[in-house]
Amino acid sequence: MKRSALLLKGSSLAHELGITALSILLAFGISAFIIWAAGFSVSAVFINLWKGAFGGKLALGSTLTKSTPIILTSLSFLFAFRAGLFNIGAEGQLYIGAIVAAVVGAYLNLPVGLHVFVCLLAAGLAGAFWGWIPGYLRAKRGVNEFVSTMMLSYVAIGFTDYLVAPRGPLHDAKYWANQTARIASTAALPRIMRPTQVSVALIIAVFFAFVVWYYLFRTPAGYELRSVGLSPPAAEYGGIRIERKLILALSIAGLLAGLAGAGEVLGTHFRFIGRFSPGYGWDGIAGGLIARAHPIGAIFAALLMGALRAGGMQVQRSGAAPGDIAAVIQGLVIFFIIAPTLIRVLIRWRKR
Amino acid sequence: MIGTVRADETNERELAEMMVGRDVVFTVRRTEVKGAPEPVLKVVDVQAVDDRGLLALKGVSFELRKNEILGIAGVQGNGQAELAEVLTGLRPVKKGSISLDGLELTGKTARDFIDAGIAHIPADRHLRGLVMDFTLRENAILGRQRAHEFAPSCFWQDQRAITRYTERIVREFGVKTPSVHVLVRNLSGGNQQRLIVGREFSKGPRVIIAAQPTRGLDIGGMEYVREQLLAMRDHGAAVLLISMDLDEVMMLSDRIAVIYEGRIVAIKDPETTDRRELGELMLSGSRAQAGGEMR
Amino acid sequence: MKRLGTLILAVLIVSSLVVGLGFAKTPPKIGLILATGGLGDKSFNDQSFKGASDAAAKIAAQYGVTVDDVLDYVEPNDVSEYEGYQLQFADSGDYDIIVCIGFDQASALETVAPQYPDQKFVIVDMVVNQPNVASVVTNDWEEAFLVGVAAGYLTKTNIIGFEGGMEIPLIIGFMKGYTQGAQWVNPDVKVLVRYVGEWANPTLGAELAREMYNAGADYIYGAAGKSHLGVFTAAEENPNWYAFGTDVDQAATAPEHADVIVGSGLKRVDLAVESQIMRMANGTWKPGIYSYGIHTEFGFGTGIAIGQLDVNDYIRKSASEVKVPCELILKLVEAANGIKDGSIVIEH
Repeated sequence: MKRSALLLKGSSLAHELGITALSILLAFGISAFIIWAAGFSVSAVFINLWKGAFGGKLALGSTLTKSTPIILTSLSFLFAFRAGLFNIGAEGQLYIGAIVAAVVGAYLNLPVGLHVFVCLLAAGLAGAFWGWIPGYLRAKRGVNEFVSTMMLSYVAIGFTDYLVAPRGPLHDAKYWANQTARIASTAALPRIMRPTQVSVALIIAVFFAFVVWYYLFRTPAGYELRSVGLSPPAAEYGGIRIERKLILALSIAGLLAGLAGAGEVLGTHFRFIGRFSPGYGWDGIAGGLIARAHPIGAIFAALLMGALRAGGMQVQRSGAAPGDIAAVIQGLVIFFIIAPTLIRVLIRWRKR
Repeated sequence: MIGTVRADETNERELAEMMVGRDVVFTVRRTEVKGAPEPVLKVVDVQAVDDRGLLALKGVSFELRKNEILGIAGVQGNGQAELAEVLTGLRPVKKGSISLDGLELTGKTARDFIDAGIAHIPADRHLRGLVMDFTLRENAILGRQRAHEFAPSCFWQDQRAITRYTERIVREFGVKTPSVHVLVRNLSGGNQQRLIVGREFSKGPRVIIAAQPTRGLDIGGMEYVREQLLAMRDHGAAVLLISMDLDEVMMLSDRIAVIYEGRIVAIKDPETTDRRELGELMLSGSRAQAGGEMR
Repeated sequence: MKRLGTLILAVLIVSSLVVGLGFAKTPPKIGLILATGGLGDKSFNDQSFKGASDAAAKIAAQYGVTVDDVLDYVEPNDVSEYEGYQLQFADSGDYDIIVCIGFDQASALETVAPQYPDQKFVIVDMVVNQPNVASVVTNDWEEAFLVGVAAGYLTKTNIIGFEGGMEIPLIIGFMKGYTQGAQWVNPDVKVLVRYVGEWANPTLGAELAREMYNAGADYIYGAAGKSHLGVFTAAEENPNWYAFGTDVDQAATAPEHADVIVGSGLKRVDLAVESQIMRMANGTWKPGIYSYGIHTEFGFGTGIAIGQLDVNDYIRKSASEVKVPCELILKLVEAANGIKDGSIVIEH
């Protein structure tokens, strides 16, 4: 069964969903064993896992809040993947977008709608720049983007750490923590599910999932990008400029991840807090793979990961098991879902 | 099961007839073309380097004319692959010039070559000719994905137009497939080649670069492709036929050029030359005795 | 008459049952959100947790339940998680009091507290001015001053060190108090200062400590959460290197280092947290700013653990294996009294 087949025809979609469901069950099964072996109550853990993810308005809010950036980082990974590239740097691109959104949000004075738009635009461009660098290096110098995007992630994280450290230029002295000043109220994304932290950022993320789908499957540019990912020689034969496409692909991937960071700053925290991301960028890699690189699938993959994170927090809070157990469950679920895809991807990677 | 014959009692023609089920034409008739042949593609002293950095084309010059099939005969590895790539914008030219009706194409991109009206049937259909994991309709527009009829604007593809176009190609070129939404990977080699031929010829090209167009096809497929090449020639196209099959080259070409070690060492009239002479030229670059030379 | 007596008895029985049932209510619940860095820092977080647990134990005993039934806690991994946890605890409606440990919870609490005006909150180490928040702050510089006196007195090289978690006003206060204390007893002393930048990086803490030791410091104090444990590891590497603990007698909480920890500053967050929770349990809880220290209304709060004896409220004994001279203890008493009566003013 070829990866692209399921994108078009319904029958194989059912097949893939079936495999995904089976993988989740398998992961839960093994998690249950580990929980039992570690001496904790399996039922308490799973009940709290569910409770924390879907058991009530606040739980649902927690799930959605955490899913929002993951939608965008999953889109980031899968977009580059469609061009045959591995964007491992969504975490760094997310931080770059976030810090830019925080600065534009806090230090500019603009009317309401415009301010948000400018913040998002700036964050997107900043993220795009952070993706452009490895894109250019790959297209023009053959630098392996897997490595360069990962390294740039650490650069971005370190750089933003410096910016909000006590002596850093963007540090807000009022609260002492490593964070920037609060953004202006005109830059904030409205909350849509009070009293939870869910904001318009979720709508923006879902919107972009559809935009990415349309771009990839309904525009000539998307057609060209996919052909580069599937067969560079054929793409070249078809008159497509491969270098340009590669650079564009990583730039857009960076833009999407940058927007993820902006969403967190403008909608969830209202400032840039040092190290605010619990790994949303890395989650995007798993999310993109779970979604089988399909943009609409990314929404559901992100929901799954957000639910696992939210459920995990409740597991910790209830005392049913230490937070680490939740991390184990998350890891196993991700692993079992992507194992078949990962193997296929690695085979393709080896062929390069 | 049609029948059984002994290997030493039969011949190619009989076997072919049994396989295809009818009289197979082994020699195709080339119609005479009236009037002086107009040169369409001028290749002057072209040099190019191969993937390893070695000089593969060492100064190739020839003309490709309207209503003509120019066959390139040669042993694999003497520069044919690089020649096809250079003439379709897939390989840069180190020296020399390529021009189409006076339009200079040297140094331009594959896109420019396609837009200029040069069609390419690539030697490796799985690598170059098709995106295997794309559907038929996606492959049908490969090279023309930005054409106005398929993409009226950069924000929108006319899906119906693409489907209609593909269905037409499938009909006209006899591509056997359950639907145009099937992945091209699932077609047989012959049908894949029919799709490629259909795609390239439907463009109404001025020049056709056909590299190993019948490789890996069955008798019916081969016959079909050869007929199509002739038909395009009759309708005004200038065809460059690169083939390892010497019989095919002799059968279809109006002129035959022999390529040896990156150079065109002779251009022969198929009426006046024979397998032996061509064979010698292909293997050694020179001929044992003087014979009719063509310009 | 008999009928009246029976009636009165019935009323008494019923009313005592009602009252008894009233007392068989569920116990108050405590929500505790620890600071990033988590438990195991052997000082600030652990002490806060101890205070909450002690209070929870008392409440649990009253109601005949276990501590787990009374106390729920979380260890957030990052500052960005505070708001989420605060919301979850508050929205559940289950908790009679939510205790937030750490100055960096303040910005989140400013957002959450107004959304739940009936929920009681406590924040430790920062002031949040909301009608439902009790802010517990301590005169850390007093603890630091006393330790500075000890370090300044004991040093043979006249160079001592301070390792801070982050270069923020809270920690700078510690540093200044320490420096003034050292100079009060030893005007020639020099203080080296380093900031780790993180609250849970003992490896880096050890590296920076080594730097200071190699530059001549023989006694190092600090305020860096878990990172401070690195100072003890470094001190073990040389018989002339010593360290001071922070907020709690770390010679007792980290006994494996009792040979290098001469003494520790005391910051009785455990008492402060316990006090806040018990007020809630007694119904006497009120919001506002609670300032603990030697020179404050509440008296206890800061001090030093050193030597073999509990001398007074502020100078307690330490589990340290290191012996200190009597004169030092006398100096410390003098210093503590000076702070108390206002004759010593510590600039922070």
